[in-house]
Amino acid sequence: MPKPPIPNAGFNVVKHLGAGGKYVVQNLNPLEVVREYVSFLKTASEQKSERERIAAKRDVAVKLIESEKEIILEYFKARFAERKEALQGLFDILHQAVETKNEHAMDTALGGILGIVKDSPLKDFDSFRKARADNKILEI
Amino acid sequence: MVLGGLVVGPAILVASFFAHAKAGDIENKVERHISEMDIDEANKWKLVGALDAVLARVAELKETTLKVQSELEHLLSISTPDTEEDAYMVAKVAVSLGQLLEVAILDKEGKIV
Repeated sequence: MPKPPIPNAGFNVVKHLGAGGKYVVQNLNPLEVVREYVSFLKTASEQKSERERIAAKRDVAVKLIESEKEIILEYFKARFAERKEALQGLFDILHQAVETKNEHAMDTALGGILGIVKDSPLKDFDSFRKARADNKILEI
Repeated sequence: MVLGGLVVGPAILVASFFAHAKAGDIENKVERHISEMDIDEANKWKLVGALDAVLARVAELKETTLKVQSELEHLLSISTPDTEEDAYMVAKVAVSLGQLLEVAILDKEGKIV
């Protein structure tokens, strides 16, 4: 007939609890159990709060990063669209100038093209970001 | 057996408190690691956004250079080598093309210029 599992389970519990556990088991009384239970509830509650704090902090950080990314994308989209339009106008002038061999118009067009291309697309980024943070509409 | 049960029952209960507390600590560590990974992921996507800007800048420079090159080729095809004005215009467009090729996209730190 197989032995009942309970004594083995008790042995395993004591073994896993280690020296401290043996002490607890030897001195167990209902009040101790209740005290341990209350202490456990407190610890569990603190751990849950800590997890919620970590998750909330993470959510804030991720939102902030995503918001910064949105600002970068929005800024560059508008900036490059504006530059493309300006460059297209100058290329039309350059093309006409080459066709008609108009030196002055060609100088103007080339100067404008070089000016735009050499100009950093990041130039107004800080003011754009600040204006966006203040909910102001800014023409870039 | 009854006596064994009387000792083991509360012992299992107390042991489960210890186990729960330990599991809770591990759960917190896992939560912290997940949180760090989420933040890292968000930062990587932000970097991808910045790389898109660099690509747009490269595309702008490429398009501009090709268009100026095309205008230079067209100018060469309609110019007469003996005419001083034509030579000046060709030189002017060629110099501009050279300047376009020298425009930097990133600085030494890898930031968009």
